[in-house]
Amino acid sequence: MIGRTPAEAVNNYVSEANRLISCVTHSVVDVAGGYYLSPTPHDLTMNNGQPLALRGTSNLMLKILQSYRIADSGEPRNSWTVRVVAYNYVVYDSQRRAMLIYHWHPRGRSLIATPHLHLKRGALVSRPELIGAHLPTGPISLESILRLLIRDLAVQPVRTDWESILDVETSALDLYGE
Amino acid sequence: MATAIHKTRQARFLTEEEAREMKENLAQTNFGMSLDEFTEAWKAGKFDDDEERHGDVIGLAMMLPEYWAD
Repeated sequence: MIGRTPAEAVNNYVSEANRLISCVTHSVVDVAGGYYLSPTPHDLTMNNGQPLALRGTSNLMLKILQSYRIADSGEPRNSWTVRVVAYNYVVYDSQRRAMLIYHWHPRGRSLIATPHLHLKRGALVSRPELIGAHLPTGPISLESILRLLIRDLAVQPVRTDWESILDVETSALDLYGE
Repeated sequence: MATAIHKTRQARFLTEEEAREMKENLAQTNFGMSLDEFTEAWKAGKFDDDEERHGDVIGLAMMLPEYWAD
């Protein structure tokens, strides 16, 4: 996500995230850190980092976190860019048991630095080796998760034009990476 | 019922103090400990085998400067 200034790049990124989540909630995203260049990425989340109850018969909850950096894009005109450098998307069942965890955490204590999926007990998975498995994925965009929730997991959208919003598979994959 | 009319939505930009408070609340709510206690426990590897709370552990750890330190 690009801009002429760091603030513009961040505002473009945050506005798009807000637009995406508006398909499933009236809540807005929370941004910690914000506009300045920093060796530690900034955080984009919602509902103060806690799971947010979604509409629909499945009574699911969603928690999102994207860590983002602001960087020089190397382009003369839109010279600043926002890059997502890690994410944590968790879908919980109605009893707040984790079902699906989409992860990309290239740093930290885990040996798995590539994007992956965890199937947890909320998905009614019982094989122990699957509970602990890191199932490989490509980079997963926020819109992909929201589409999954609405199309396949009985989450009720809160706006009628959700498909046109979520079907724009971003140039978004350009958003991910150091 | 879905609606078609939406106001412009403003994100909530947290101050440094509000961000710290959010992380402190996450540590208290999800782990029953302070943020400093969580940080020390995470660094010591005490959550490495906690499969049930894996998403919560990673979610909070990613917000720590210590997570990104080389």
